[in-house]
Amino acid sequence: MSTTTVAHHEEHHDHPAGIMRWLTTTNHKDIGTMYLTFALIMFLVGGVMILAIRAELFQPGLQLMNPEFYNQLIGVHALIMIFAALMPAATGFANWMIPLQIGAPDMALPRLNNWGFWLLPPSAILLTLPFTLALFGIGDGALATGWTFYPPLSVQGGIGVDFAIFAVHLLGISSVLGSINIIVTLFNMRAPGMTLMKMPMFAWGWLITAFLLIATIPVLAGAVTMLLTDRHFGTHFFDAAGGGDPIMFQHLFWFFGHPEVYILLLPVWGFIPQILETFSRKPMYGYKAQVYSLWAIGALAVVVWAHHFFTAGMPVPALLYFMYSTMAISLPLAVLFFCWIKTMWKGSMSFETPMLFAVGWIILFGIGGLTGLVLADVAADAQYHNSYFVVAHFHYTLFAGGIMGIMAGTYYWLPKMTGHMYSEKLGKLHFWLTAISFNLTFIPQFFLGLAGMPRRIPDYALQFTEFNMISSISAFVLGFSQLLFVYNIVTCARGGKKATDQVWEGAKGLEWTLTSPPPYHSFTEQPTVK
Amino acid sequence: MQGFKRISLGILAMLASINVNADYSWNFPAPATPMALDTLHVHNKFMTITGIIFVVVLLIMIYSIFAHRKSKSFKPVVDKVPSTAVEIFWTLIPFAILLLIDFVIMGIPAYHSVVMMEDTRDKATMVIKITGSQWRWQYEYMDGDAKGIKFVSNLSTPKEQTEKGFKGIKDEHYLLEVDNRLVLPVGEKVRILMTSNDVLHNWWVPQFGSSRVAVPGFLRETWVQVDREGTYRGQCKELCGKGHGYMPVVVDAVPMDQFKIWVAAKKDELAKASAGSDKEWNKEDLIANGKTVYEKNCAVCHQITGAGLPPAFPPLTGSKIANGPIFGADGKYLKDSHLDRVLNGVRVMPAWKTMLNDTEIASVITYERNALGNSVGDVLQPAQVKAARQ
Amino acid sequence: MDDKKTSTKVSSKKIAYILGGIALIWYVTSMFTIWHH
Repeated sequence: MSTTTVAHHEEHHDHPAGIMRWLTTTNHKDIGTMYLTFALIMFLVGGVMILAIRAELFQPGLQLMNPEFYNQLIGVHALIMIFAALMPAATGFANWMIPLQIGAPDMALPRLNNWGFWLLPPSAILLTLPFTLALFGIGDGALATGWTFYPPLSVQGGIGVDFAIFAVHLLGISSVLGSINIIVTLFNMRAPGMTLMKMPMFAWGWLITAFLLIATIPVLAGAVTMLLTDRHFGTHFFDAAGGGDPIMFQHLFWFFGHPEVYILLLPVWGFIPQILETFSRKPMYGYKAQVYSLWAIGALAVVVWAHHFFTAGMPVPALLYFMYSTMAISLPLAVLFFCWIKTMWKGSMSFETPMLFAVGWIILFGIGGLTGLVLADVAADAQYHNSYFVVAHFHYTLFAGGIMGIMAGTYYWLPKMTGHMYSEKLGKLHFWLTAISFNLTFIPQFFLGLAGMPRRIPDYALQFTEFNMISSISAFVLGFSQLLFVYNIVTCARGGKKATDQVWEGAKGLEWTLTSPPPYHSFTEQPTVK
Repeated sequence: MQGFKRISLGILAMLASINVNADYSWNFPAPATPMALDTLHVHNKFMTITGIIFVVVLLIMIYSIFAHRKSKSFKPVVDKVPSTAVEIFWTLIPFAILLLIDFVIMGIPAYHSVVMMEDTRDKATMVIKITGSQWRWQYEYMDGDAKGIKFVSNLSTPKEQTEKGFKGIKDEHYLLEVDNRLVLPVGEKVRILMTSNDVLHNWWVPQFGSSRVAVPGFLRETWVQVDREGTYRGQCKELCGKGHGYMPVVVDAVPMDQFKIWVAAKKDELAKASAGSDKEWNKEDLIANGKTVYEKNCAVCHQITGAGLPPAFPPLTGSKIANGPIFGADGKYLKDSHLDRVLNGVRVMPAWKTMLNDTEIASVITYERNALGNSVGDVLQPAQVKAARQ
Repeated sequence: MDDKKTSTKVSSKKIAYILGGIALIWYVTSMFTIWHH
């Protein structure tokens, strides 16, 4: 049977159309598309929130909102960006690309896959509903404790905290279901000949991510459940008067929270080397070294959590242990950077948009990583902790490292997914606007932190004016530049120059052996890997 | 295009005009304690090392970006599958460089810094206790001449300046000024005990280089030794609710002889204030005094009009508690009465008995019952509050 | 699309249940380990 006849036969397969198609689909590409679309929408929602904040912080004094509302925006912004934008985007790519890259017909557990996605829209609603309810006089708004939920403040808070707790439970379950699916798929569904050490790097990144999620989401869920019972059912887990300890919450939260940041980055560390090798036209350097480094970082990630709360006070041996273990993460990371750059070195590079983003990513994520190193120093941390220095650091790692990484992946795989080329001109413009305005937004924040500006304040002393102004103006440029990204994606999905199967001259991997876009059921015959 | 040009010019002009009084700062403020000095050195050293690494790596990348391009017809090299020994060697170089930086160059001094920072007792000559609450700091001197001095430190920036939409001129130390400053003697190592009345707070003065979380129900410790005379300003550094940005720290470091003078004066002032609780006050004075206390401490939640912010903060206007009886037949104050509320708090409302004296409590209760839309008519005397504390 | 699996030692369903079970048990024990009273 020739492939054309098979393809023709395909179109008569009945999968439902319209809403029912999307509600009931078990197809990994459909589900991937839903994850990515959801992520993009939530990215814009979270972005609008932070622009409101930067508008308020443009000048000293309060102009737009009360402190109570400000406190709601900052926490919900973070929860949305982390749980509703970055993680779903990475999961979207996992769903789309992992089966294609390993030669599998679909994910191992397709129905579980569907449930994993459909938990997300209700969670997003739960998170944002309190804003609307407050407009009608019900409750006093959304979560106002920051995304970290620290008690006793979170025990004091109104119904916004309860909504956020439920949202986190649903988001957590979704992540765990997705992780189970990914682990099972990678263990059981690789094409014959694809040993673990022949797996694409993206698969490795996600394999470790999935294990981290299973190891840490239950602890987060436990922590917020205990918070819920402290709030409503008379327990005293985090209440000193009842024999509990507020700082215990921080241990539980950050036991999840630190691995979480690697959960956000590992998938990107998986596909960035694939982009680099494509546009350098030479195989990635140090495949094995990278795999071992990813494992090392995954393992270290779970034993360094207390560096998020050095100033809460803990015994000296604990402070020293967490300081040195945190610093140790820089070692495998250095190996990764070395391998990425050595991949570029003496390649034959071209700089289409994915490569622009990948190279910019190395530089900007590098700044994030280096500024993280100084934060590990316990004594110095007394100065940096909860100041804008930390805010700048984590935006370098999570925006430049996470979001710009996802953008690189988007441009890289969009032609494969849609069958059309995106506008290269617009893509390059988007890159430069984003990279430049991003730096102008956050570099001033490093200096604000050093100068003594704390975070999570709606108004500030006069000496912080200039840097806040620059940061706010740049933030608006950054925000509006993302409209170029949305426009490019939407027009690309709808039409454009037809993409070849190979798309990129140097692209390697099984996904590039399929048509662009791939057929609804990707592999009708299982490929073998030499 | 014209509009775009105008807007950009406008923004540039605005930025330029700000620069006239611009205050750009690129590093920590001048350190005033040994810890702050240590941290400044660590920061500078780390930044220098990481800066050099960054620049070197960036230059390598830039070279590669320009030299190893397809458009220059550069032929890609295929990295030979290296022998394991070679691969290990190359991979271990970045590993080893960072090992040296992390655990030797930065790591060994970091150890000493931690030990120094956590040693709150050795050579400490005085102890103070700092209590964080929503939304003010309270200071208490625990030993020496100053023992017994205890006061609350409230933000003293006029409230209207911090209100939404205020367009006038702000104070020079907007948001960083208080009514009662913490005063410490220069050059003395001060052990600081830290706790909280309600939620987590964090006491931070950037020039001191020490920061510690105030945890309710626990005592945390840190220390400062202010080596230079001066006025130092800081803020709360742990999100603690809507007043988080409005509870600054102001410390005056003065020579020892000046400190002793301040101690005597402060003790005098506090004695006078509590003596007020023994005399009989007239209604007008109580109400006038109560208004000041109310606006400084209560208005942030119950609003200046007494309207409150339900559901979180109930209104006082027309409230059952503010209009109801305070004392029962046996002469003791009733549970959930106005006095009970103010003394002992409830849920997120603090127990003001720890922060306000008898006169202040009596005044504010009298004010609340005879203003803010209420007209109960009665009066609460400071002596009654003093008796109620028993 | 006949074989959804290559030759594997442990079925997908089994792995899924094991991992899910671990997550659930971990969730419950993380709360019990600090139960004071």
